[in-house]
Amino acid sequence: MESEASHQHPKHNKLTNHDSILTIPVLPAELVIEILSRLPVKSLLQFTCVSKSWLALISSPEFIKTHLSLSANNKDYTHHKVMMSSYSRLMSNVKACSLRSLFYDSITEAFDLDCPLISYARYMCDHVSFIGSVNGLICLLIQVNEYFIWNPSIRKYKKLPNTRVPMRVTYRSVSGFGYDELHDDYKVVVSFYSNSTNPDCEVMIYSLKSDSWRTRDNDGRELANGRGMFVNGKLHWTTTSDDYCFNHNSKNIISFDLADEKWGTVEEPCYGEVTHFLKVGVLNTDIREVI
Amino acid sequence: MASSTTGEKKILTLKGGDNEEFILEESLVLQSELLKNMVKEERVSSIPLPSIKSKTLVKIIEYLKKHAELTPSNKEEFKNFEKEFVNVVLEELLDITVAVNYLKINGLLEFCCQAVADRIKDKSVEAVRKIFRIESDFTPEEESEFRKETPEAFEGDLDDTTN
Repeated sequence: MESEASHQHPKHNKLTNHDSILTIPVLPAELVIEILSRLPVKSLLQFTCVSKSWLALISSPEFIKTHLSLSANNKDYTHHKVMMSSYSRLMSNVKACSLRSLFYDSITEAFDLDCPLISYARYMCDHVSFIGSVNGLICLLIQVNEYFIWNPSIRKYKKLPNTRVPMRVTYRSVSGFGYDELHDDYKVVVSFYSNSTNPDCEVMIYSLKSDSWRTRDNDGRELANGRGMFVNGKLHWTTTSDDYCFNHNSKNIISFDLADEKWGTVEEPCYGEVTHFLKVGVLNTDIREVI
Repeated sequence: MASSTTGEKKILTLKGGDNEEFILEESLVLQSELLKNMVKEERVSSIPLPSIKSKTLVKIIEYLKKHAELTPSNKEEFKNFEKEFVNVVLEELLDITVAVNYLKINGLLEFCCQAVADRIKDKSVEAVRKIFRIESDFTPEEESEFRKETPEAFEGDLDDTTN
């Protein structure tokens, strides 16, 4: 190695002036971190083979957090992706395209995300349902109780322990996925509703840190509807009216705080008489209601 | 070079690694946290920077001047300047990045780090080792395991000439 290095920069051997600076600079550790935290995940995975210290650095939780926050706060949306899924009977497909390209290019190409769960879902005669995504992680559901957290950047996924399915003949479930910053934990919240005229509800919360499900009641809140929208540490759902099975008149927005696990109600905007189906969406870091 | 004041503008001398002197307005160097502290606290008029090559210092001063002239109307022009600024051989870019890190010029540091990252992202592991002057401390067994598991890591751009 030594001879190679000197061979690489022969000119430095000739320098005698002490004021001159020799060779390529040795980068201070903090600068190496600054540079590496700006690399795409694909390169980082490969560069774990560079040395033991690079492997330790790139795998450390602090580095992963720095990398994530730099990618997430990139104003050019270089690393942001829009995910699309399509499914017909027994077939599903997940594609993604660059958000930056959608904004700035005349044509945007979508490419296959190579979701490892599609073939499994096909085998189970089902499709993959999208529950939510946060910090580059995507929560997926197959069948009624098989939840997965998938990280497409490193092409790895984790199957969550199966939820206990309520012992009722019919029920429906509503889920959401988000990040609890206070406890540095990712959580999946599922509400199971029995399909009866006097509906009762069972809420189950999965914590990635403990890798287990816990039950919690919904404190007599109205029943949630649709997919949970994650914003500012809380999951948000629209609520259904009483006979939710047949009449999709949604009235309010309820929230569930992933840190203190408390339910709340979001103050309604003034939109007059509504007879339509409401949906919530996220715009930047605000919650929006779409009628 | 003694401290002098022409009108309102204070003048400062920076001395590069090879003793070349650069005379510039004090207000320009305030963009560097390091120099700002030196100027404010120690009231110096001449600052030796022996670890920075004059060639690198020329580039950095060029940036400081351009950045000081940045207004909303020439934003585009500045962006193009920035692109050209990092369009140098990798060795020079690393020199600049190390100097900017030392001088603590924050906005430019982030830009340089991103430029270095863009330049090395497709390099092979071997090339990265040479550029960062790192010797593998994995055992030959571990090394061959990596090559088996992630052959693509060793197949990237092998160019380690730092160009």
